[in-house]
Amino acid sequence: MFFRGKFCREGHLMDPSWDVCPVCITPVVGWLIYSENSRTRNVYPLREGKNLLGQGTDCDVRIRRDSVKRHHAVLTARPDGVMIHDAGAGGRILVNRTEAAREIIDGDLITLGSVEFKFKCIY
Amino acid sequence: MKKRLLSLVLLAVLPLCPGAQEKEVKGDSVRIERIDSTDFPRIRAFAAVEDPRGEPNLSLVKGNFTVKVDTHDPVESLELAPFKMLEEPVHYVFFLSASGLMDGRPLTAQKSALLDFAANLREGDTLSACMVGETAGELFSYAGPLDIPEEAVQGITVSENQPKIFDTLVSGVRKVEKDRGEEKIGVRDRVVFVLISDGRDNENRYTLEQTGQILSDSGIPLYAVGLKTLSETSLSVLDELAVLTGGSYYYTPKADMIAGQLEKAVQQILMSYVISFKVKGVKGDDSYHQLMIQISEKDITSQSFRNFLARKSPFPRWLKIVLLALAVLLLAALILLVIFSRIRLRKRLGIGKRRCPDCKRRMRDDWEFCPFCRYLEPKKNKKNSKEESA
Repeated sequence: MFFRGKFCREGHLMDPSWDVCPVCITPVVGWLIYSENSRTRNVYPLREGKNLLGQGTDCDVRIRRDSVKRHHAVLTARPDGVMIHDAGAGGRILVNRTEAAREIIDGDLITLGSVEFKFKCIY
Repeated sequence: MKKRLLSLVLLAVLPLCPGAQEKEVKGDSVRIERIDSTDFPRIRAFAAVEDPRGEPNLSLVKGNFTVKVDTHDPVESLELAPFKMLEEPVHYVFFLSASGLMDGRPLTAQKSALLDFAANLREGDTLSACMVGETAGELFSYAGPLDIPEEAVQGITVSENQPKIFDTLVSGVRKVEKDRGEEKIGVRDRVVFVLISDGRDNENRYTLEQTGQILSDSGIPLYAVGLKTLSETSLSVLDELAVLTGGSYYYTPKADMIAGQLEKAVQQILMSYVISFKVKGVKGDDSYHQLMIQISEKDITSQSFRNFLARKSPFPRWLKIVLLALAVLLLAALILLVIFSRIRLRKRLGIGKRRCPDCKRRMRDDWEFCPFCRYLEPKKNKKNSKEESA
């Protein structure tokens, strides 16, 4: 804990002075669903505000796939809409299989690297 | 026949020749009084050197001494100093006999000898006095030269208690050990027992050998003054005991000579040599080793042997200091490492010096609001919650 950092139960990296995880207390507003052969394999909850997606331990949504960068994308969820854009690492982002950073809606297909997710949102 | 006669005459005449007489004259003799191995491998040995008349010889130098431990080579770096020059205090414990046979002149002589002895104490020396009985009956203890209770000494009368010399001495040793534990006297302070007795004793629990061993183990030499009362037969016990403990024995045919013999004893105590050295090649194994001190002067040599305990020290002092310094350094390094790792972690999380003004929690630089204040329920005071429920 002294050298590796403090982690919450969900695996989010925390500052040692925090007693609760700021990611876990934020309300869930959507999910990224990963399916394989029409079967749901992983469900990644998305929270209100900024969500950093990637493989890194400091990401809000940690996706451990080879093609996903350490800091891959930033997904911002607000009541007026959900936006996805590159986090600066040059990772591949596709929305409905087209390469563009833009607003996404419930049911869109999001591709990060070579991994495809279905986006579900309660807004 | 002539040859036989000649040889008989020669045998009778030879001892009278001057050359033969010279050969019979003995040189100085050395006696190890006490070995202080508290700081093993550093050792301090107290050695008394007497000339043939029994007078202390203080004219020897380092070159006259040879010190050996077990069968090792002689110790090379010796430090030699006469005890008197070190100005270290001595604690004397006097044992006086007041059995029926001591009534009259012997008892009076003992009292005056004790008072004379007390008057000549050096500054810093202390004196305790006990009576020989079934145990050591204490008269006074740790008195300096100026605080000897003369009335208590003069008030000694003949006792009906059975004199048990060995038991009394052992109880004296126990008291010294207890006082060392209570730090009335230092562990390394020199303690000397002085016994004035006629050597008669009854049904001791301890034997001569046991008493000698106990005294020797605690590093207390016994200087015994044997006073002839009815016969000299019982006095040999005192001589044997004094030799066993590293002390000396002084025979006194008349009570008036006690004071003179005590003076000799004190001279021996104060005029001893203190030999300090470091033992090499012998490990501290909590077992006994033999020390040999030899003096050589004018082609005459004298040796004395005595055993000492090679104390096992689990941690030498220097090792303790090194370990402590290492522990402090390690702790400081650990604290620094924690501080730097936290700085690195905060940098990675994007946390600067920013804090929430309400909850005072650290905030990421890119947070627009404090999630703790927004999403966590505010803590309620107990008093307020009680009021609300009422």
